[in-house]
Amino acid sequence: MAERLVRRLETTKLMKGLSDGLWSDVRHAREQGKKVCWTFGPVPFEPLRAMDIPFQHLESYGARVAARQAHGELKEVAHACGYSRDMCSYARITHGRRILEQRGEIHRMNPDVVYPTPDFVAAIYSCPTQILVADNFARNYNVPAFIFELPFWSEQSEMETVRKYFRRQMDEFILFLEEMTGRPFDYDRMRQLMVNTKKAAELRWECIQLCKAIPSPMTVFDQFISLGPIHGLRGTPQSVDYYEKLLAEVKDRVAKKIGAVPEEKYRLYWDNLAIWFKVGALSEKLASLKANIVISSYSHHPWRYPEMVNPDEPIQSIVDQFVAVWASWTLAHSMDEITKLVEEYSLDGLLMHSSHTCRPHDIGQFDIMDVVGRRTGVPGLMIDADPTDPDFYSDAQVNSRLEAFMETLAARKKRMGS
Amino acid sequence: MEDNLRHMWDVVDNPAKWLVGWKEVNKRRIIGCAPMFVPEEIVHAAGALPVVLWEGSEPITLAHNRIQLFFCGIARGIVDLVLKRELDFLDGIIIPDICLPMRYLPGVMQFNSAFPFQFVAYLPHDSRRPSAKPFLVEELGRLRSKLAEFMGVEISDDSLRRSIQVYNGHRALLRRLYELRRKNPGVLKAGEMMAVVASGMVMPKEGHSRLLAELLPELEARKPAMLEGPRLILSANLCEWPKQDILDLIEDLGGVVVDDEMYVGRRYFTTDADSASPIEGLADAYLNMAIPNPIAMDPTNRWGDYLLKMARDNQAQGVISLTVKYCEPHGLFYPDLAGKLSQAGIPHLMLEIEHEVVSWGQFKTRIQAFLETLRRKK
Repeated sequence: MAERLVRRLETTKLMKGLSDGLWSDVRHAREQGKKVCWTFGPVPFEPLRAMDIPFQHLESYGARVAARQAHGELKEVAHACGYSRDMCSYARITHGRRILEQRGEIHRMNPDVVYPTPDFVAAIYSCPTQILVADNFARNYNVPAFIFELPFWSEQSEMETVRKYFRRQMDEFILFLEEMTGRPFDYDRMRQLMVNTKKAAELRWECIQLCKAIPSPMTVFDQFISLGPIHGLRGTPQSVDYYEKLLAEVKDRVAKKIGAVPEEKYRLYWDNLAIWFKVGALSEKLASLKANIVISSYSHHPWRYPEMVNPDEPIQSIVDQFVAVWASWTLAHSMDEITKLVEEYSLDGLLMHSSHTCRPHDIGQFDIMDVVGRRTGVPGLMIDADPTDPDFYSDAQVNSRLEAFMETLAARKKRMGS
Repeated sequence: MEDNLRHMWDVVDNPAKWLVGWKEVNKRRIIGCAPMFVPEEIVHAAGALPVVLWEGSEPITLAHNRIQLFFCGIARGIVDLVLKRELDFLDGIIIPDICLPMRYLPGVMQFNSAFPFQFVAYLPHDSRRPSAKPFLVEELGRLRSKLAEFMGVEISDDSLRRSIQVYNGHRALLRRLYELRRKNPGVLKAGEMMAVVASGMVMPKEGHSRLLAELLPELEARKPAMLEGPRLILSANLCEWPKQDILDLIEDLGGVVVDDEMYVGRRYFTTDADSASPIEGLADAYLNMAIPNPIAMDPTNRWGDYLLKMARDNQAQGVISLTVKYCEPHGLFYPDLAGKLSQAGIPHLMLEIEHEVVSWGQFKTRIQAFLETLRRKK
């Protein structure tokens, strides 16, 4: 086997164990007398932790299944039952699993992808599809569903309306969890969780900022792998521990000018979700082209305002973060953000992952390339793929596009005299 | 009657051209309302003409520089019409945040159009929650204020009440037409019914109501045609005008369409608003739709129950689901609708509709086979 080019961060190797631990909590929930929630989208997780409710996250499940090569069969089961191949691949994978389970055939599957059915589901409209998937699961499992509405805002007055609405919904969510568990909401535990959330967010943000260094100590793939603690493990001491270790390792690299990619020549932006089944392969391919994707919207945004977190006001802190991050993510806002990233992270180009079945961030990508390109001069490349469905991925196409794009960047650098 | 139908066909054949002509004569503003469920009454009360935007019938070309191919025809179609300057006559556009493409369409509009008025209306997806109605009332109030400012008018409660009454009256006429079709399925072809409803989404309601009011007595006087083919319900075809050719094909092959719950169909006119407290009335009409809202939470499969009841009430022998390709609200629900129909022993067929239909041969074969099955079961 060829030696890896990318210098992998030691800390990222901890993610498997942490992830397995999270899934183990879900697997053993019932025998511990706990309720299980399935979540769709970046639902506020801390209230679930505060009430000791293990949760299975749809997107993480899809990635986990894909990593174990079990997604093909699950998708085919869903297709045979009438779910179009063009629908969200996370949804098709999870529907396939539900259908096998309800037929009593789940024993055929890799045990690693078998988890308890939900007692209830929760979703957030940051991706409109997730609401529909949650509704479908509520219908088919005959369980309660809670969804968070999430209007976008552009002006200050709209932001206040959205903030008020989201606060009201958080209060409804608390009541919902009390109803689901038959217990009063544990605000003390919630406050403790938010101490960890704040700390983890601060540490992670510092790691992300350090990728401005040339060469960057991380690849975006390291950033994607390292999202786990700020998503599924958010609020836990383990998430703080992870980011402390990550920050120490990243700082050390920066001090010694060690880049994740040897001979980093081209610094790139990645738009949209990861292509989860190609994380390793793409990072190696890009490294072979002396390119490093140093930042992404997907890794840049989550909990990027730790200063807004006040553990003494845990519910309002979540409201403020969601309103500032998820509810502001309009196209205009994206363009301004990416324009800043080009300068802050010294970027040479934009890679736009046009995702076939995971589509929230697809519309507007052409305009982003145009507008950000005009503002900053950096060119963009669209890559047709999907986060978890290899049916919509072609190695030959992607590799040849990347190679051609690097030639463009090389020519541009030559013209600019660098 | 022929003149009235001809008038409606003229609108449907080229709605942009018709609206440009209308604007020249009437000198009033036109606000495009992307489908579905924008409360047009507020626009009407402001003195502008609200029109529900359509997909366009030409192949989509320019839009594919701005939006990927794997989005529904209505989203790409609207972008294409904008880029081809065919919607330049619009003074504004209101887009409901109801699904993924509609949520992100405003961004594309912002960077690719110059409509003087652009508004995004967030319509809640769970009407059961206490927070939904107060938010929606505030949201519709925001639309009212912004529109009033743009139009330079006051939108009073009285003007809203009058508009709601105009719209309720229009809806009542369309319901009367549909009841007539239930009793006499041959009274108008499915394609003609579509043209009636679609023209009503484009024309001023007052004018369309007059045409309907003249048309209805003549249709009611017609003797029922003895149509012997399998009785059918058409389901969904969300947001978009059903393709005339597909409707004709179903009937040419012997299907008898007796009712539908399509958007350009019953969904557009089944729910009236209460005008007493007008903004609240409009909010309630959205949150409590008579036909289950396909973009809202439906954990007990009320949509399936509704479709099943519609099939039984009409003695329908089968249901044809028209699924717009890439439509997630329908696509992610469809297996549960199909399951409900299957459990009740009602045959059903799903046709996936694309903007540019290339599979006529397949459609014909599948519809023929479906109708043969229904005839044999009879």
